[in-house]
Amino acid sequence: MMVRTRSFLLFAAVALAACGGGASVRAPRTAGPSPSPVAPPSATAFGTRGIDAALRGAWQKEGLTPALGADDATFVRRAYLDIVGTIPAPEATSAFVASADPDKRKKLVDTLLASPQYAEHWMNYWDDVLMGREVKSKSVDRVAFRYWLRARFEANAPWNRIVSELVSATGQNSIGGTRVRLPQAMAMTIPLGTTVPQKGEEDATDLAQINGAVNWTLRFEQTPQDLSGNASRIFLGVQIQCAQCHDHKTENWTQDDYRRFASAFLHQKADPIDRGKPMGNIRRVDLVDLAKVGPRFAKNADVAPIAAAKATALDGTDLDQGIGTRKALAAWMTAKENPWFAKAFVNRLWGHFLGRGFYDPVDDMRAVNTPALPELLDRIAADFAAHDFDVPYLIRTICATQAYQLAASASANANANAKTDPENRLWTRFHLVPLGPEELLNALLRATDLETAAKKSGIQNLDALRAQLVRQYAFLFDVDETDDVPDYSGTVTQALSLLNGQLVGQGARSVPGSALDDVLAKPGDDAAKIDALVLRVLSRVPTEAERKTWVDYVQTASKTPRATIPPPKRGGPGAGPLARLGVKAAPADTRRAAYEDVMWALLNSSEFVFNH
Amino acid sequence: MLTRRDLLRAGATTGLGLVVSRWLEASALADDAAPKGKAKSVILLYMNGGPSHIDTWDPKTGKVAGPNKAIKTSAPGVVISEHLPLLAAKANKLAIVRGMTSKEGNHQRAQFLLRTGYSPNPTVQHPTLAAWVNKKLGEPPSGLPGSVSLGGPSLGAGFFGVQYGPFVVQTPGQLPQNVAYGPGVDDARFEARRGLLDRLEAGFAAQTGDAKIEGRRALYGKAERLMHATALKAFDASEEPEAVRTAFGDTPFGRGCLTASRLVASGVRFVEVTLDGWDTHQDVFGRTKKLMGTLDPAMSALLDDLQRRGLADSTLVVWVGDFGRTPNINGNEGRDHFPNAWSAVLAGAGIRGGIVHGETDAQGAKVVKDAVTVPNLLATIATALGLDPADVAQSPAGRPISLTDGGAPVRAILA
Repeated sequence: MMVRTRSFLLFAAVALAACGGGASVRAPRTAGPSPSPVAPPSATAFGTRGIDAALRGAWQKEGLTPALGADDATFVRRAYLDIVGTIPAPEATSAFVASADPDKRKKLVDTLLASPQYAEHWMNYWDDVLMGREVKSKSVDRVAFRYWLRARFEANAPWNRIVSELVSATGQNSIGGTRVRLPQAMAMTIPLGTTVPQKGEEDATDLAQINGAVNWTLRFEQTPQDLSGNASRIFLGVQIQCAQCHDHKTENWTQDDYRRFASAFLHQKADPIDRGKPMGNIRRVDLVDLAKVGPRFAKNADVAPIAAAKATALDGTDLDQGIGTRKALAAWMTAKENPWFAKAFVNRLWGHFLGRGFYDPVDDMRAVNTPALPELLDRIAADFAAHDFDVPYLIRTICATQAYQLAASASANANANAKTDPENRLWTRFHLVPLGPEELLNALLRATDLETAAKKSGIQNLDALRAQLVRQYAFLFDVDETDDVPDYSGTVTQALSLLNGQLVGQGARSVPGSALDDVLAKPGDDAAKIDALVLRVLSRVPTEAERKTWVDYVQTASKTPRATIPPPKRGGPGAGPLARLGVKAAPADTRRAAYEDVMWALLNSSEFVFNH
Repeated sequence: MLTRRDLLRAGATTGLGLVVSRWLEASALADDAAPKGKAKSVILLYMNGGPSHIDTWDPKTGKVAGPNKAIKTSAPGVVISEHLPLLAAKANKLAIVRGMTSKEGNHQRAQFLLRTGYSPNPTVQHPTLAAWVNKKLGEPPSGLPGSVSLGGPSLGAGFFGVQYGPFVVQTPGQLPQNVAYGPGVDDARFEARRGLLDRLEAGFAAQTGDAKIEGRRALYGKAERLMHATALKAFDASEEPEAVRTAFGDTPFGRGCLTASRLVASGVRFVEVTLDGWDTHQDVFGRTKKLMGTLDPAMSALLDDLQRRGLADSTLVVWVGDFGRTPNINGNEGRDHFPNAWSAVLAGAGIRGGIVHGETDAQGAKVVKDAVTVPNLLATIATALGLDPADVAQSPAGRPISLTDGGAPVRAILA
């Protein structure tokens, strides 16, 4: 059971070198659901062809011309970011671009779906969607929840099973131990099957004894009235919570509908296992089903009207099944016949891959939120349900579409008379999307190879370093990925951290082990080195003009003497988790310094900071 | 006509960025358009966790009071906790609102309500009052952000977008992180790097034709203006004479209040300073006394400092927390969450000083006169700033969302 699995989002992004053949090997399966049956190939499947035909029809009807196709280098970067949450290693990009295999894009997607980083990335994605930022409740074991999620994606559990297990989860939340704050949880390298081993003691308690899924329900211990609203918004795209306070004329749902549906979520209670004050430890509880709404809910004035309502689904299905109410709720929500379930997931994934959902924002499928091509969404959702909610199937289907393989460039619309679609609601070009915090950190670390540099500088505790970096960066990059607005919305804090912060500042340096050091140590002229840097950071080969510009800069700057810059004061700028990096390294000569400038500019560029 | 941004852009590409931005910053100080209300800035002192109203601004007698005594203040007939002696002397400048009431007894929900004027609703991410102020009154010409949160946690700008959210400073009284060059970088090297970056950006913008690249370039311009703004030193409270710093108290909150005053002097519109620790389910008397020991010097020194700087008539100071705490004292000598009846305090620009508005019963359990809801409180603040509380913005889903959830200003509090 003690399978050592690398778990950290940032540094997980290490290998994944091979593409188009030589699939990387997935980590051994441990506890968790068995893989879903592979859907039989069906002649009537809607699939990629159906999507392509529908979109072409829509473009034709609107008089729109799609952008040119994205080149291989763009595609490999895009697929890595969307499927595994990081940029490709330079060797992977080169091998992919060089491959003559006509099926190489399809094979790349398969390789990424089979890699351990796939489960890692989607664990992070769903942990963020379902749990959000720091959860204050003392009975929430974030680590156990994350590992529960990872096991689901590792085993390719079908989406209906994942949601069903979440909504009707019962059992123990945690094996106990110290409560871990989110950045540490995200930075942890711990074996699957345990939560936090106590210091000096090997804790081999099996995850099978607990059910990490219950932690999602426990997140709402203090605000049970929010549980149904979150579940329906995320899993059904239904904004039932609009009706929490009163009836709206423009909404489908009445306050009674809301209360009856919300009531189904409250047929449970958390029995404490630990007594007394938790004192910084996770409070262990056992979540059990109840035949009636839990007694503590009925006493809460805000929740009492919900507690008094009869558990009923949104379409009127009676869910009041006594002890089986939550199971009935889960079965109703995730049924193939449910009109929202498959659509909500397809809309969300389409939004993730294509930069904008049919409904935008992705979790609001109300009639007042006018969708693009709703009939196409229906067809894809039906296809997804027909394939038993097979998530990799849906990802393969989307990634193979023409729309996913278009360039981000609007200028490729050569026809001057062609109509334009300023909001790009019909995906005639790829939406530029700023990288989320996880993706940006992964990309920065892969481009700079800071992990190797840190090790060479004698930084031993990489987990602690990672936790510090997550803490710094998760809070800085408060960018809503699902929110596609025409303007770029970032914060000054974020811009400052890229301009002057440690990760980019130190990452751009030429110190033992760093990416730049590696590039400079290899034989080759300046042009070859510039090529290698651009490949590492931007996952492509520079144009002739770019190469000349950079080489000129490096050669001119190498001959120009630089002022000696005194080191910052102790505790001043430069202090922090990476301060020790390369302290013993010799100060960069003018040539190295010039290359550092190039590296800094590449890391600050929009081309690096956006998925495109 | 050339805009400031055009000039900045031109400056950046010709390597004159720093010089031009510094010159503009000085020249722009003149075109500060004054809002219609009396207040130009707000300092929100946010008491995280929900302070006990009975043990602070609304003292009672008998069993419910616990060991605390009340003291007289400079406002005739008004008494407050004995642990706020400095503020008691300033009560003639304060409007103490004792009739606050809400339905949100959960921290997160209450904090959302206090910041936005709405109970949380997952379908709309309501903008905060700070975001409205930032958007309506605009960024200050000094190059500083329009909205600053000292010590956090705060709330973002909701559907207004992150650019209207607060600039969060983790350690009040010190320069923000990453405003200085990293090791090994000086003006010349930074300019060289920016030149390289500009070329990359121009290439990518031409290739994609996407407005987001321009948006990002504008954001970088804003970050660089902040880095090089002479007003940046407003964040560094260590510049103040020792006597001034001592008056505020040697605490993060005290340094936050001093910094808030300095920031407002540099044109910042909305500053939030957090004092955490009010969630006193245990030992309410001991812990509240200690917190008042932090609050009393900091808040009274803040009122003095604003006066000294000539900002008292243009700055609105608001003291508020999540909710009140139960009259009942629980088994752990604590008080629990109590949204039914609680207190808020206003002072400064546009506010009538020396008054108590509203009244609770002898137990502090119920508002018996002049109840004020949170939307009403926020509408009052908005009005003092010259903003229309009924002002409407379109949500992403196309719904019109007003500044507060139907709040009306409380005229009795306004001067």
